[in-house]
Amino acid sequence: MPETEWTSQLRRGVLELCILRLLRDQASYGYEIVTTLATFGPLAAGENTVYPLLRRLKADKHLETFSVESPAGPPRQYYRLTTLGQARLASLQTEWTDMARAVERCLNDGGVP
Amino acid sequence: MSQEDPMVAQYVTRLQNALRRYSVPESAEIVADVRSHIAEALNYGQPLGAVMTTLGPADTLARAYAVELLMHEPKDARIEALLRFLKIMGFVIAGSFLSMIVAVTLGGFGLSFLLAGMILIVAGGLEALGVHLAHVHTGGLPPLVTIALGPVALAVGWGFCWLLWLYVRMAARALRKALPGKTKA
Repeated sequence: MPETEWTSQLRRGVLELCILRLLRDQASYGYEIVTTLATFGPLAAGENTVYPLLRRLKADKHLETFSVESPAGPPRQYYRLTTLGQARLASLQTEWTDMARAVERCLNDGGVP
Repeated sequence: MSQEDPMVAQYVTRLQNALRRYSVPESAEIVADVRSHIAEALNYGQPLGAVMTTLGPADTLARAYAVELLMHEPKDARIEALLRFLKIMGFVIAGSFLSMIVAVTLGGFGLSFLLAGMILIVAGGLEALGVHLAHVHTGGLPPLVTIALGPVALAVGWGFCWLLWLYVRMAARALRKALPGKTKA
């Protein structure tokens, strides 16, 4: 099924949350993050979405980077969550849970409270 | 270090130019990320053509970075920019008044003493030769003393001018420091 603009916008909105969650337990590098997201089907985002987002999260101090030598060539730039990033993840998770519940209720009840 | 594929080198150059055109910060780190991505993908057995296709055109990628990094500028960065602007304005306003007073005082004293020194030397010299200038009064000082006072006045005048020069240099340095720095190419 071809991806719609709606799916693309929806993914864009939740991608930040998903990347923060992926990096909560362990640090990872760009290529690995892109390929991991690709395994989640609709969450598969292009490099030109993921890499700029990673940079922005770093600029916002939600992520920090460190270099590790790579057998593939240039050093890998690993991203990991900062304390600020952990707080951002917790906040986004709460917002997402509330939103998902609200949408589900709306879909089930058809707007009848 | 192995030779970079011409296709990758060309892509990186285009990306660097586009990042510069969009004034995207940390372009060196972004380029390193992209180089690393390409190397990793090739290492995982993806063909170069496919890797470059999924990356998309260099200009599109640079624009995506610009949108993320420039349009989602954190609030504290905007506050920092405002504070920098207010600092420059404060500096210009306060500096203008101070500069007016300092320049007038030091410049006025400096030029006056330099002029007085020259007049003293000329007047003293003429007095010694027996020529009396109308409207020039040496206060009854002997001509040689008048001549000797000339260099002293010149030195004092030069001192004031030197202080003015030091002030101008200091003000220019402070202004350069207050203005936003140039971004690295």
